[in-house]
Amino acid sequence: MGKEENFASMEQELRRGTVVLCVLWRLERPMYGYRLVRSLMDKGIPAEANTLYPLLRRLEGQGLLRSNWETSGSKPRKYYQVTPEGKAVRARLQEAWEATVKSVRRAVVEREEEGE
Amino acid sequence: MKRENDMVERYIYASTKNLPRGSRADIERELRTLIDDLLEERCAGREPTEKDVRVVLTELGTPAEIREKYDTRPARALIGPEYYVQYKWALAVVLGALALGVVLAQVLEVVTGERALSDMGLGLLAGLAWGLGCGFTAVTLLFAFFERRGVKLERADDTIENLPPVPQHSELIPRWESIAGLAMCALMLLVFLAFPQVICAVVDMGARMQRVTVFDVDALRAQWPWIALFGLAGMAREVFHLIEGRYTMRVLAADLGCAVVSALLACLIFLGKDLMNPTFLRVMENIGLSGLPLELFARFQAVFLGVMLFALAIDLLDSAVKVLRLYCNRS
Repeated sequence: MGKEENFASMEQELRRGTVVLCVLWRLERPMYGYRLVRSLMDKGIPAEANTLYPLLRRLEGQGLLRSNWETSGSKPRKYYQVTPEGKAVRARLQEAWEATVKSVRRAVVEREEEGE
Repeated sequence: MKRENDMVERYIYASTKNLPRGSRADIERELRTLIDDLLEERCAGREPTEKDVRVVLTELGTPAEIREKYDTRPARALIGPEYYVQYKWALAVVLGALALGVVLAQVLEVVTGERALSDMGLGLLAGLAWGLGCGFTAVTLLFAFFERRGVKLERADDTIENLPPVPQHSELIPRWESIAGLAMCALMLLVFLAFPQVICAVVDMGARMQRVTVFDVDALRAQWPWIALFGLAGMAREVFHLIEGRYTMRVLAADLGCAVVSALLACLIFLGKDLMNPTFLRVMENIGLSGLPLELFARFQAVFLGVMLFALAIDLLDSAVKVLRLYCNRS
């Protein structure tokens, strides 16, 4: 594996855990899969459809999302929306995320200040 | 457009064919809509060409990748990494013992004149194919059973407080013991199932040496399902010893289970049927055998069963003494 591939893999690892939090926030209102992909990308979060679609099904299986097929439009679309349980998990995840950011920032800044 | 549609349908079919039935139709529908959205975005109002479809499907990933991402079932293997090392060991020992057994049996057949030397190559090939095939199947089925039933190699309760003590030398089951046991089971299976004629006496009949089989070969072969199960029970015991590696209550329980099953199977094989070769006793009388030795041969079937049951009991007793002594010392 080359250096760039190594870096890409590390970056992907760094981002992996944050996708669930973003999805749970973006799905405050009902949204279909591809629209969610575009919406995340617009916010600067690269999301691949082939990863996001299975993730949505997994979150639905865990009771954090609910879905329904909308067939009245030009083509059938499956809309997902966060459930009350999903909102509770989202709040806890956000707390954990903010604490992590704070800790990581402190570790990085302190390291610079200590001149390591 | 037919071709492009066919390609999309083929892609969806390939991606979903091995997914759970319950969710397959929904995933198919979801993928179809996604591909439609991707094509719509790429083509911006114009009709998608075959190239467009190819690009979109390539970007989406191979069907195998899609399947892997959608499939949330835990991956299962016939024999997983937890058992693989012991599986390879058992396979090497059993196949090695069987190969040696086949060669010995063939040599014996040639020496006793039952097979011509020119036929030995063919007999060897057939014997190896049969023996190794059966051995491979038996060992693989045993380990697959362990994998399926989730027989844990480590204790289920591995909290710090309940970590097992470092075993003393006397607690360890020597690896060679299990390997020798496995080899013996494999040889027993081979002899009783494939070459029962090698259990024989060679008597001097004056002008020539005559070979007389102890058992009625056809009657013995008719018992093959019980004989195969008897061998498997013995192998299961040795494989469990190999996996556990030390004398524990689990080993004692496994030994007890295997001994009971083996004893029942031995009774099924040897009780209530005449498996002896009638010529054998006549030949023994003709060569002048009398008294207790002749009586022993006359009741050879019962004696043989008795010896087997005795050996099983001794084996079980040996395990029980070792396990209980360790537990008493520890407490």
